[in-house]
Amino acid sequence: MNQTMTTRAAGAVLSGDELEFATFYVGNILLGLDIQQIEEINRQLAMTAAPHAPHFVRGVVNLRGEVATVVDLRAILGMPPVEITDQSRNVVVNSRGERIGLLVDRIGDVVRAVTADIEPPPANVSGVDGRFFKGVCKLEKELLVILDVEEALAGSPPPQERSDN
Amino acid sequence: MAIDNQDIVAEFVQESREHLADIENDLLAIEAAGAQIDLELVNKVFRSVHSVKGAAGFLGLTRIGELAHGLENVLNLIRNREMVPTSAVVDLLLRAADALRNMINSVETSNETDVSALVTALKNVIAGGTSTDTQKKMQRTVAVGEGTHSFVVTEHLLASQKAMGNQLYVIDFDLITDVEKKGKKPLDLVRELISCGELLDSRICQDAWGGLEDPLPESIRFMVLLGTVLDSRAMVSQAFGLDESKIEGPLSAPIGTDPPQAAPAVAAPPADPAPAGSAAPPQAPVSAPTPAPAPFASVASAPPPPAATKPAASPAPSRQESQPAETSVRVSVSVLDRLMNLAGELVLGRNQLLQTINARNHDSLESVGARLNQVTSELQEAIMQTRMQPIGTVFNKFPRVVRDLSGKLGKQCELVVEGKDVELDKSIIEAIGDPLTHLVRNAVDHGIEAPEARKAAGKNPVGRIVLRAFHQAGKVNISISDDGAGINSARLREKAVNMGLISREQAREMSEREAVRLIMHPGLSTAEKVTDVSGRGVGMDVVKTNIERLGGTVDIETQLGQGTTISVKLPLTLAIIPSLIVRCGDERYAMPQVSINELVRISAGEIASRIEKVKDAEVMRLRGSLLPLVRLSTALGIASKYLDPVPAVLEDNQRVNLADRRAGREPPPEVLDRRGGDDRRGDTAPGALNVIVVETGQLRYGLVVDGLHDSEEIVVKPLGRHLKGCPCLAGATILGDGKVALILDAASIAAHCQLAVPQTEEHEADRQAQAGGHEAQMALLFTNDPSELFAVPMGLIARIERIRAEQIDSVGGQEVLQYRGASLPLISLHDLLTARPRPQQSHYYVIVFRVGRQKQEIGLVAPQLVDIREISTELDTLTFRETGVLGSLVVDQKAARVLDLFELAQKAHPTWFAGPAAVAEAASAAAAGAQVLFAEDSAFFRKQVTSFLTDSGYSVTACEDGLEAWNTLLAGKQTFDVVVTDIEMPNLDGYELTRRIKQDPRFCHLPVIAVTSLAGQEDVRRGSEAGVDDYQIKLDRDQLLASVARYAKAAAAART
Repeated sequence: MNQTMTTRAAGAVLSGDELEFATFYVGNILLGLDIQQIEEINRQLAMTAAPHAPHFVRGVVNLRGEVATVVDLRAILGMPPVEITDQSRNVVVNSRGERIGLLVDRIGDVVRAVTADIEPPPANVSGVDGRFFKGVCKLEKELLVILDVEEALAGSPPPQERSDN
Repeated sequence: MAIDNQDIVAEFVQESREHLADIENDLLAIEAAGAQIDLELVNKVFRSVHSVKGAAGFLGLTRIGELAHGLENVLNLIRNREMVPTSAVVDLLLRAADALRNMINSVETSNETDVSALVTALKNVIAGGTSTDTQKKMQRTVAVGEGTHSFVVTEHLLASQKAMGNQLYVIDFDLITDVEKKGKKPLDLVRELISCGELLDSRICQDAWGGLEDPLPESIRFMVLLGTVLDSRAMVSQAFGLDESKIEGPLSAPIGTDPPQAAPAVAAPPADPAPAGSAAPPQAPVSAPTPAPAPFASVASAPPPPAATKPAASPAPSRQESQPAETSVRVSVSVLDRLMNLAGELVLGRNQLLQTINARNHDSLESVGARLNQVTSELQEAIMQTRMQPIGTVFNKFPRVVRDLSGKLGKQCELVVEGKDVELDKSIIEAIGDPLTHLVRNAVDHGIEAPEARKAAGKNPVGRIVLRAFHQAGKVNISISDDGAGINSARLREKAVNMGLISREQAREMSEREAVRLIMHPGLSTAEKVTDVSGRGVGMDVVKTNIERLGGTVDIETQLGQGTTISVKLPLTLAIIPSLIVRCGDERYAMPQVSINELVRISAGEIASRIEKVKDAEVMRLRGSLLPLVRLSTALGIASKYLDPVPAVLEDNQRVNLADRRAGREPPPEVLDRRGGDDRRGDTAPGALNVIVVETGQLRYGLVVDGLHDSEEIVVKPLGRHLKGCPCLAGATILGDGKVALILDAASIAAHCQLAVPQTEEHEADRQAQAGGHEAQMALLFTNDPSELFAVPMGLIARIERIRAEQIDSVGGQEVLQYRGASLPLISLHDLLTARPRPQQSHYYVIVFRVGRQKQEIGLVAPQLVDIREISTELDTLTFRETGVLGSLVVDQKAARVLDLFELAQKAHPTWFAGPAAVAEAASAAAAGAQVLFAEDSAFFRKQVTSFLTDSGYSVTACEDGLEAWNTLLAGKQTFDVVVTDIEMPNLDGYELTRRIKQDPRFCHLPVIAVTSLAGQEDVRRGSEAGVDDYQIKLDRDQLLASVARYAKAAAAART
């Protein structure tokens, strides 16, 4: 059951301007991340809730002896929260030296794209602020939106004022 | 430049730091000695600087070499008694050492650092502090050796080498064949050279260097001028394993006969300046432009004219320059070997475990688990040991801080440092430096008064600051005391009111202790004028926050006009902390045990009477005082879920050794199944309340949690950046089942809930009651049959275990408990006393205690624990008199029998005691009538011990504390044969009493036996340092009697 994917799993030789993207769904958006940015994808969803954490932090998990924060991409992108399902996955990225899990609804395929095909992101994608995206790329059937991990992890202002007490 | 090998440079940096580590204090000691030069010490500093110079020259670190050379020259003069190390000279040396250290810390840029000012200053000191003859010698240079082997050195250097009986050699090393091919490292070579003598000069032959494209050169010639006591070429060749042809020398007296430079003979001091002049050119440009040695000429003379104060007044060298964190640690080989062995055992344990799992052999699983448990604990301990460092590394910088600061402020201070070798975890050592520096600076700046003010107050004009580190109760205590002005609490109150921090009424009602604590409030500082040293009102609050971040506490005691003592308590390590796992809502949290004072369970029936509301806040009655309550669920903003906790236990955390119970035992499953699910918060909750009484230094409050789990040693893991600033949390840990639990921060919870400092007077009263309750004894109450109540003094209990009934085996009529792969003999009250049998239960408690010389553990089965309570020491010894019962008393209108665990153990296992008891009997007969002085603050123990000593025929003089005992001794009305003393006592503790006895020629012959509830290794070590002759456990009467008899007999023998 444990789907683990390591960074350098894809052995194929890429031409200079070709990139590989791991893709996943959050709501109805197909998001992509450069596969080099991803450390692993797992089903480790038994999280410990963290009180007083920012609203988009879903909790913390034990990642082989390290405590990693898991953020809910839905919350960051301003979508309503959903329950964790069989399809939910934890996409672990390395951001500024720290491992952080991104909770996504469903995993897609690994997609290759040529840099030239990547266009700058529009102001918003399906109602989500375009600042979280690095660009878009048209695939055969759908649109791949490339996530800007650092921007996403910088966090968004909470939808409404939370009361701490 | 030769810096190309990062490893070598790193090694150089590491080693140089070690060389320079003590230099400050050594220089200060040199200064203190003044004209009485301690050659040993000067030599030590000289060697340190010399090593740095040698290695720097080798690595092409020219600026470092230059400065080290300058320093070395001055030190050399001091060593040869040609210069007196005055304050001004030492000041300059200190500055140079600082600069040297800074350059070494940023070694990459060291060659761009401008050291000319310091080098010139050092030269000027030489010019000013020495005779003209010496100066001349310093300036004139001669050449030694021939051709490529020649070096140019000062005459003075040659003369001093000669004076030391050193011979000079020029050694021609080849770095490739002589060093690299032999598997040595270049720095090893430098080290070797220095160990044989003095490395006077060295250079690498430049022609050996090729361009970048060239293949690696086949040889790199490294020329060294060495001064050594080895007096033949053969010996030198042997020392370095070199062919004699590579060595030139000994270059005896008139070297300068054939070289073209025509240097003067070393032996003959130059009469004509001509040859010197011709040899001088390379040096002349540096020394010539010196603007006449005048400004510094007076440096060495006592009354300082304005010029001489210059070095002191020049912009204070910024000493706070970031001290780089150590990147490597030295570990002794024996520790490494031990780690290796343990790692081996761990592997064996794993293999065993795998085998057991494969074989599905559940019986041996337990023993494998026990083995792994033990190996892991040992491994953990060994690894921690590698991280421990003496606090001296921090303390060593303070003499300098105090010296510089007091000089700057025109004060006179003396710093006394004690306990340098107390060890702390590396991470704490690194973090404690700044807060401590601040406290020491404060003591000089605010604490110690100006000399005139001190004189006026009838004090010694020289202020005294004592910095002390010691172990106590598993923590490291550091105290900084000064005998200065003390803190004026009235002024603090006033200032706090003016700043609007507290109201006038609050200020009036505030206790003295609390008022003094105001100083740790952000924004308050009492310094009359703001100096650049302190007094800006940032400081104490930062110190407090930093120390609390380390899991420590700060406490202030002050007496106006007498001085101030600041005590800092720190945990030994941060990496692994014993914690209590608690539950709130669906999650488990870890609460560090350092913050836990005790656990209190309030049963449903008691809630109404013990919990009250003051305005909106809940408070709890605890032993007559009010304690503010915080609900963890509220603090964390989560819903509480009620779960009936593990049955009613009231544990006093200080006494029950919870850390021993770390095996991660989960609460029994049926408890978890009783989860209520719905939110039943509030006073109407039908179940009991679990309250953790936490203490955060200045605040004590009760934290209400939903459930208590086990106590575990947890490994602290940092939280990610999104959770760093979260209130109430201190980090995270991974529990035995792999889930993450967050670590709670007691201080932050209090701050988050804006908990006010509670009714101080009552709080204080409670503390007093806790601390000063000499006439009462903490005891654990339990029932065997529910109708019969028993009590056991807490001090005798090693720990309490909760076991399943089926863990009790009966072997040959003897009950034993199988656990941790071993068996523990059990005793049951109904077998030994007239007591009703215990009821059948699924679980029992076992009170574990130790008896006998072997510290044999015995478990007493206690079916139901009732309470931990202070009981009176006035026992009724008649009503229930039988072996194993000390007496009885009334608790809650019920008679409770106080048990004598040792008698019980003896009754159950007479064979264990036969030997020593017989010896004690025989010996005590011989020593009958011996006089015993007994000091013990607890009336309970005092009575017990006195009575059994008296029963054995001794005449006992019992004292309530160490001071009374000491005064009894001084009074001299009686002569004593043996002193028996408790350790922890008010006024004068057992260590100090022992120290006084052992240091007084009148009493030093007296044997001292220390008695404690439970002797830890640390106590034993401290005791033996103080001079304690023997350690015994209170109420282990056979052992104690045997020991007293032994010493009394010896004393009697000595008398006759």
